[in-house]
Amino acid sequence: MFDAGRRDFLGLAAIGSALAALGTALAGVLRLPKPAVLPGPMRVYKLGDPAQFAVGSVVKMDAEQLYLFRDERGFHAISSVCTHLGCIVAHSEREGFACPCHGSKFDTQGKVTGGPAPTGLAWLEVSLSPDGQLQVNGETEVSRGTRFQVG
Amino acid sequence: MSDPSRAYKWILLISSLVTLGFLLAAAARENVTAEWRHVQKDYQRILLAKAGDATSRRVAGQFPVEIRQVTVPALNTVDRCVSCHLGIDDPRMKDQPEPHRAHPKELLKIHRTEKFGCTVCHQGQGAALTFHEAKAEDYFWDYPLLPASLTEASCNSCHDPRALPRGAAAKLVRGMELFDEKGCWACHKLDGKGGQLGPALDNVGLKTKHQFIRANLKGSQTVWHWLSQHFRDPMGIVPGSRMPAPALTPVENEALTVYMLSLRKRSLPEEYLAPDKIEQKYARLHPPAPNGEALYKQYCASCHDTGLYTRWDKNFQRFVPAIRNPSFVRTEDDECLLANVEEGRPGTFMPAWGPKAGGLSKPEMEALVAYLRGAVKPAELAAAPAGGSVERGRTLFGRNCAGCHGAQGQGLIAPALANPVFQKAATDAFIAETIRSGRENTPMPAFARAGFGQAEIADLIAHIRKGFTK
Repeated sequence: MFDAGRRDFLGLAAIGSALAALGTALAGVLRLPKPAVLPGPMRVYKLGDPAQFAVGSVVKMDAEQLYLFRDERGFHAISSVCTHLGCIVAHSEREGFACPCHGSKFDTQGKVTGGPAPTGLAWLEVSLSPDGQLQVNGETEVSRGTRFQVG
Repeated sequence: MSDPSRAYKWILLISSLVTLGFLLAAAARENVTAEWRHVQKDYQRILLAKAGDATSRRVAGQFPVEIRQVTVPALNTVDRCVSCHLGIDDPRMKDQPEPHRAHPKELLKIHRTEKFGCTVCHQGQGAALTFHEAKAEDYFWDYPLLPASLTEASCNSCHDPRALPRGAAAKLVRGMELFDEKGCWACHKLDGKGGQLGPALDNVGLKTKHQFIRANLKGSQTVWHWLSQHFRDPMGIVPGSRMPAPALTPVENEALTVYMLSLRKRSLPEEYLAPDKIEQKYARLHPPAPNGEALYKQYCASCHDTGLYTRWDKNFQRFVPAIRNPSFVRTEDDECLLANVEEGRPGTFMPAWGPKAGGLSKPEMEALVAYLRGAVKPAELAAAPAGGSVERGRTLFGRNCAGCHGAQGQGLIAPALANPVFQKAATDAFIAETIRSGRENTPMPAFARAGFGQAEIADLIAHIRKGFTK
């Protein structure tokens, strides 16, 4: 009995550790398609001291391809890239956004109101960098209506 | 009773445990113990300690531990240096220890990290995540991290160093001055201008260590170590080199090394070039009035020294002619001097300096000739005696001249008389005068004093003109 039990234990341990090794290796392999970081262009933009943007101001950022808004409820950033074919949309205080290429229209919140654009303009994450600068992350979308409050 | 599969079970157990051990160690190394994770956690502690109000405490508390990088598609660089150097653009981090410290001199205010990245100035392996691999010295990487003392070399890629604010790139500017002062141009070309005894140096800063002779290089095998050791003892590093040691102080040695490393022929996008760099490029089209003395120091002084005395050159194993010697200059007119500068002496160490060879323009060569001449006016030379005999001339030449000028006029320690440029540029009257009066301050004696008359001089000229066999 004792002999058989020990033999059994050895066999089970061998198979168990082999499965554990295989499982760990598989976990490592499955992580490969999702690298921690890709060598694409950097899309986190530091915009400087938040105090330089007055309440009620709208700033078009050409290099960053976004509009930065500041109202009483805080900051928000809306991508200026049309969701149809990537033209840069124009903004007017009253009517919202309009694309010059194929006439897509968006309301002041970036929702589609007309034209071929399939979805609304993306709202981008606004935050504060550790050195106290306003920072927009062009890679992270937030839900429409999210505001970032400083202080 | 023994189980026949028992050995296999042991083998499976042990091998799978060893494999599992390696896998777990690798996972820990990547996810837990990585160098950059520790650095980022330390940085978060510094941020928390520095946080003044609730907002900054909240931001510091949410500081994500992740790989950070600066990608600059225009420069084709991906630099992950910012994964550890987190405080480089935060002025509050001035007093922190490395790697948290803010970038010195507030240089990032004018060179934004997002536009420039790191390796475009500092070199090194940008994608690395450990300092050892980022530094990449004696590693599989062509351009290892430049030591901080040599980083100025990179300024030259986008700036005209002399146009930078005073002291901004002091070593680099000093190196440029030394290149002129030490007369490096005499043997080395830059932008098509200069001598040809040594290699052109236009792209030295982009050479990799494998392009240097390192058999005699002790210690670090970096390009900068090679350069500074080579300046100390050129022949010790490159056997057979004829380069004289430029006699530099340690500070000057470093400055010249910085300048050498700054010589990089890279094509950077125009938006990265400072306006003064573009001006510097086009300044060649509008050269200032040439200064003969400065040109002489740059291009001639390395070999001819002051030019007033004949110099014995131990590397060349011959005398270098005294080209500003009044007794020489007075016997030659400007055309003859110009011809010597322009065409050099083919087959000897004297290169041609004309536009197609050494790159000097006509006005520059004329300024040089004016400097050689100084205040000495060309003398009216007596006409050379004619009708000499080649036969008698050969005997006289063999006894009196061949010891220095070579039996076939090929030049031993004294100038080659069979040289085609000499034969073309030197007039009979010049040769006669030189034999008669010799050359002060050189080993060439005045043969008139040794009893040479018109007849002997005529014979010698006949031999010098017609007697040398090919």
